[in-house]
Amino acid sequence: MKQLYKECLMPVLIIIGSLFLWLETNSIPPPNFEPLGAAFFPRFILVVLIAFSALLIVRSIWQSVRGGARPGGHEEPPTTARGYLRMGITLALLVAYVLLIIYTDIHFLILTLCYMLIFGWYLSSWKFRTLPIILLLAVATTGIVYALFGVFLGVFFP
Amino acid sequence: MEFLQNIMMGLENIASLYIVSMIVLGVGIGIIIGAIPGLSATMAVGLAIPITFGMEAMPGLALLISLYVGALTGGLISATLLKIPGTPASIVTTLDGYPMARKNPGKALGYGIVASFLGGGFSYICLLTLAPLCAEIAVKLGSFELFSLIMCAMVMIADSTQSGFVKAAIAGFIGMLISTVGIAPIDGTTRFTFDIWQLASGFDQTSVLLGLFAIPPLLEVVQKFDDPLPEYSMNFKEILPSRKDLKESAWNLIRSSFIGTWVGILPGAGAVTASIVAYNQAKNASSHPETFGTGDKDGIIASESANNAVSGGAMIPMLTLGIPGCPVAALLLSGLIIKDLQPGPALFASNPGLVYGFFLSFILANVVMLLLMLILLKPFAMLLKVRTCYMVPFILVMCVIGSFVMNNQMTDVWVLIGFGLVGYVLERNGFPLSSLVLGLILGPIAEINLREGLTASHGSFMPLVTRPVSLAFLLLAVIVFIYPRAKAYRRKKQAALQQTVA
Repeated sequence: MKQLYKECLMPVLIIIGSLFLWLETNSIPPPNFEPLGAAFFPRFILVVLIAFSALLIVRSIWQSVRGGARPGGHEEPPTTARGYLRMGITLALLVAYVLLIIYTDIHFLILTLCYMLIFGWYLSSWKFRTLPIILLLAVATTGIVYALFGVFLGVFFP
Repeated sequence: MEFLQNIMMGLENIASLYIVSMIVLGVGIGIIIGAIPGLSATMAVGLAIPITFGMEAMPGLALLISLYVGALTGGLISATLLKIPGTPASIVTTLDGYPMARKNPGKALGYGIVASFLGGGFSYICLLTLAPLCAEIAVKLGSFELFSLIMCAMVMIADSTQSGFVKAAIAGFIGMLISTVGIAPIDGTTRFTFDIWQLASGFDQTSVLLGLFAIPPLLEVVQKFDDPLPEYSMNFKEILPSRKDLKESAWNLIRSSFIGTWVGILPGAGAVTASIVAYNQAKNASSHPETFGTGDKDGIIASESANNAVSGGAMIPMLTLGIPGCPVAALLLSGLIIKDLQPGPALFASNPGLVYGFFLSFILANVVMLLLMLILLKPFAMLLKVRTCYMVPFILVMCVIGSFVMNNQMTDVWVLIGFGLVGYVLERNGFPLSSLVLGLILGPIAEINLREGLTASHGSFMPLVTRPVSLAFLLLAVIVFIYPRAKAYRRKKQAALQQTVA
């Protein structure tokens, strides 16, 4: 049952998303000077998505009832709770870094240095002996970003 | 005569110290990225695209090409020494590379390096000779033919992945749906912007590609942080294979290079498919198939020559039709468009020096790859001791700044993170990102050609089946879909019948 739920979740979400977007296509103006108009292609894609997702659901239910080999799909091994925590922290730090760039006046290069330091130290499980390497990496990265984008390419930093 | 003139123009374009140094730098960095497990050729090229934004067309393209060539071969190092493929293309190399490396790591790497060089060289010669011919044919294709070709390509893409046809098709059409956000072609109406003005021009393609190809692998690397690194030997003796060994494997080399080039031309079927097919063919043709998987040199040669040969083949449809043969070709296409260079027959006519410079860059990068791998093999191998997780903050920072510089707006960074999450969720549930990316690139081309064709035919869909070339592409799509299923069904029936008889 758990496997069936896992297999049907994505197709169900795709169908719900497709139906929502189909309603959104009603706000696209009809064609003026050509046969199809701007709404046709997205609707064609949405119909195909709904049809294939429904097929996946039906196939999963059929396999679940019959038993035997699951429908084709290369799925990754399950993530551990520790793995999810690490991913969550990685994303949280990345989002925090971006928010600080947007909403504070701290220079991008200083934020980059701090981000590299904190994130790198977290990845090394807060071991003090790795701090010199992480500091070196952080300074080197900031230097490379400045040299490559600021000097060589002449790009404005965020 | 014109061919030789074009080659001379190409040589003039790349004959500068700046471009040669970009190629050497690109191959070196590509080998390093390819060697480190968790990073890939796609990530290497994706990260470099924003850097080429401020460069001229030829040096920028030379850098991207050399990163690709370097990364494809770099994957061989960790595949052989650690049994962990550095890039997905080197998965099959682990089967024979690792067992041989336990006894003689230098020899195992040597076979792989030479096979990569020769396989890549074969495909780049094919690229140089076949691409101009294909460009001449592409001129004759009309709107309906191009739409049918793209639909045929979508079927091939969906059928060539290991995820199953339905999931790959869904991923491809999700990619097409993403491409419809923003201003519609032809009539200019806005679609799916939800009154967010930053979406009026759609999602920035580079940010989407970076998000899809850089973020999910990094999240996987972060999860596996605790996994210990295997031990490996760096006692590299007799790296270069002997002439006798190469002569014995000559036919395998030619066949595998041909398979890699041909698979590269087919949209969607990438280096992984090529190396699997070439390996199986080599095993079937071998007089001692039982030695495959135990350290047979032919296994390494088949896999590595095929996966490098894909790079040349994949450029043929990308340059002549704007249809990328693999995700890296999609990124290179993105790199061309950033430089205002639209792939297609017109590019060959208007910019032959650049096009031939593009081909010759592949050949030069291939030579540089061979030299760097032979000279610097030990330092490259030592890099495997660097834990990938220490690279993660650096790569994430490069992704953030890379997304920002495209349009100087932070919205693109949110696009990067958003699509990174979407890519991670889709991949974990078995939906291949390579199909999604190809759908993203092909969607606008398909829509423009369909709408233009229907405008010319006053709304009639009949030309799709009455025009012979268009019908041929649609029939090919049907055959590609039905044939393997019919074959499998017949085999299943025969097996059931044999069981009943027994």
